Amino acid sequence: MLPASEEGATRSLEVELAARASQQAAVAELGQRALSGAAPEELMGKAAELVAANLDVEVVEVLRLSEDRSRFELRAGYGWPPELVGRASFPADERTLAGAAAAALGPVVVEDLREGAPRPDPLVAGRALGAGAAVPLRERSQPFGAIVAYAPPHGGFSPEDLAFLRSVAVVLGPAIGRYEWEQELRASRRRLELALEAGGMGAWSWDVATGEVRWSERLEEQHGLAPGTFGGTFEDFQRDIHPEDRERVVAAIRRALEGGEEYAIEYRIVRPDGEVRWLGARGEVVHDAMGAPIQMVGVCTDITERVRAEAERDELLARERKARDEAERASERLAFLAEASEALTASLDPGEILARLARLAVRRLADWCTVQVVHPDGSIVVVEMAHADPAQRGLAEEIRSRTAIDPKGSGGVAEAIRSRRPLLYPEITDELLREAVHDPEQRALLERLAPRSAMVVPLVARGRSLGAISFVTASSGRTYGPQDLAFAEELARRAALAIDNARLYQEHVDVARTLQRSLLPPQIPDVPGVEVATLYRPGREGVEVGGDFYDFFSVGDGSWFVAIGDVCGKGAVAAAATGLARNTIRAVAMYETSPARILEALNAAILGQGEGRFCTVALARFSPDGEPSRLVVACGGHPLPLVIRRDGAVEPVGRPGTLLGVFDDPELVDVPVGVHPGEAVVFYTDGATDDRGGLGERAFRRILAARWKAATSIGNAIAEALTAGAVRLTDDVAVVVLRIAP
Amino acid sequence: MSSFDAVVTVVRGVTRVVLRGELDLASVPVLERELAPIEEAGPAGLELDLRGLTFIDSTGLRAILGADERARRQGRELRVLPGPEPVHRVFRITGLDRRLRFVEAGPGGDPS
Repeated sequence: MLPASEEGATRSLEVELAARASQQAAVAELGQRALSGAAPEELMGKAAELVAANLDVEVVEVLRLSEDRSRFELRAGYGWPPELVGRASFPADERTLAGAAAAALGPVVVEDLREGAPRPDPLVAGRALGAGAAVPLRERSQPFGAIVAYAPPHGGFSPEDLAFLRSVAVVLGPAIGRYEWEQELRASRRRLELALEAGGMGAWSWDVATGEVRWSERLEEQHGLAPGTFGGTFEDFQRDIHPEDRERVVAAIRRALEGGEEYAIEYRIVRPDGEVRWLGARGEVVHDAMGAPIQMVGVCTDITERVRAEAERDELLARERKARDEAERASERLAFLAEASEALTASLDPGEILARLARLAVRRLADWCTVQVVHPDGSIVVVEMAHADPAQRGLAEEIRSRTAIDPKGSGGVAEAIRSRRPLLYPEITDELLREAVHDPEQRALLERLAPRSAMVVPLVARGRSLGAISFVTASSGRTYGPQDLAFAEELARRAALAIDNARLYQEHVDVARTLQRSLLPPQIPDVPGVEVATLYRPGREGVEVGGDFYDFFSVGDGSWFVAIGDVCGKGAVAAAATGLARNTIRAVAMYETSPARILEALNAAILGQGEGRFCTVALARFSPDGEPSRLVVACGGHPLPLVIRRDGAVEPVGRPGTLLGVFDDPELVDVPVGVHPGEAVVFYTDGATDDRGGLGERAFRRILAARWKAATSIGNAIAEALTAGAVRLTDDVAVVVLRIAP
Repeated sequence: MSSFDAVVTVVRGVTRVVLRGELDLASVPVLERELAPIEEAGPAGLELDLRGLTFIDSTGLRAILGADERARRQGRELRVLPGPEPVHRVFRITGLDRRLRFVEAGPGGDPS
């Protein structure tokens, strides 16, 4: 490598000056082009052109190192066939002029190319050339190419020529470098934007000093704006923000600017068409060297769907939670109601039902509960009171005993009973208490129980108020709402139903007993010398009127008739048939003395009714005069009467006959029997000897087999046996005992 | 609780209804449900087998009387295989043992 020679061709001063001026103008022109943002290829072409125009050269090469820095590529030149420019290349060898200049980061001149080192590059091999000069192209300290010029044969380069060449390289190198850096920056910005867009993000920047705001097309799209139509000011941005969010966004931006806080916020914007969207924005503040904020840059994402989904999810969750809570409460309530129903219907005693109702209420619904009942005279009486706190029961009881309810009063129990509508008092105020309770003493007592909230629910059955139940909370602090009221109503409904059932049952039993009594003789006549005992025991708890009957009457000629019978079936129809049987027997006995004939008449009467309701009857005519007393017995399908002899022997009397009301030719026979003093005759219905629920035939006879002192003793023995533990009467039992006084 | 069932069998053209358990107010509807379609078909022979009954009350009697009456009206005969003593006693007391066609079970359970 040789230092640049000071030696040059001899020229006149003017020519020299003109050449220098031209060279300076060329460098200036190149600089101008570089500043105007010309592309590297154009700049390189221009550089080659300017070098060729200002120096006496045969060949000019503008070379760039390949990306891997292994070769020099001919990017522009002079003295080359056009097809080689942009295509030809050679190894980046330091022994070439270009390689030597790049390595030295300075100009290299070779006066005689034949000397060998550094040598011309392979592209000019074989061409007749003079001196060669090369200057590196570099950006900062990094060489990326070279400019090489070859003089014609015998030609050389003056120091001024070399300086010019260096000037061209100094302008060209950074120009290319800057252009490419800008290109790179632009590309990376574009890459960023593409990435942002791919992520649905719009980019923005805000120049704090100028107030200019730039939005990417995507951000404009997010705001519902056509590309390029965003106004470009902070005010334009603010205007798009939802009025309710505006202040919050501005405050966040201020905090980021002043406090260096990260800008991250979610807010709503209103699009020109009125649609509201949610944006999530993030940004950073760019500071200058002094730490002052100069710019904010960031991105926005449309998060509307996410926010909606979240809101929906929250709502769904809330709804689900609510539904679950409600379901739990509902099932708990149902369980309680089921339990309550069971407890309430387990009793058929209205009083007991009301007591249970009050106890149930304080377990689940109230701290304190009273039950009021409407009496037939219209008065309202508190019949039950329960308090969850045992310590308060005494006080509650005292209030109960002193409370008088005016049935015509307004509000509370009287109103609920009258209107058959429940009343809800979510908050019991002093005012409300004063209005409801006029007696100051009573009010003072009430106040000691500290009522908080109350409900009064009428007990309605068949459109009639039986009474009311009052639920009151105190120390629990609980306040009632519509759901509690609905629940209380449900409980009251069930209680009312149970009470109504119990009442109906009670009435039914009463009716059954009354009816039954009417079918039996009002009183047993007094027959001289004869003891009479009767027994009637309803089966099945007396709910239904049985078909059993007995009768005992005189026909006036000193004889008496004893009848005992059983009509098939139960209930009112059976009762009617029983009446028919009894009345027919009595009527026919007025003119007919034969029990068998009387039963035949009864048979015909029942057949005449055409109801297919048969009955069985044992009928006896009894004449106490004479010794033994005479008994004539006829049986229409009925168990034969039993005679208890003095020694305790039991024997059936009479002959089995056909039941009555089925056949028009019944077999009915009168059988005379003698009964001595101290002996007894027992007429009975088959409920007594029933194998299933009664005593059974044998046991019944065993009970009778004794030496009796009185008819009532026999009756009592049977009654006792029927109430024994194992006996569960399913059928009615009627017994008539006659005993001849000894 | 009373229990009752009625099983229908047909042997050599004779329809036999075998009653088991207690025939009372509660079980009479069961018997009548079984009898209705059989009576409608009008079999050559119909038998009520009471040998499996443990109890019968007046409504049970009434049901059997009803079946007997319907059979007579159709010109058929209802044959009854008597139940055990406590059940048959009821038929005796009511005189129905002489009114219904009671038959004794032959060898192998068939009426002779």
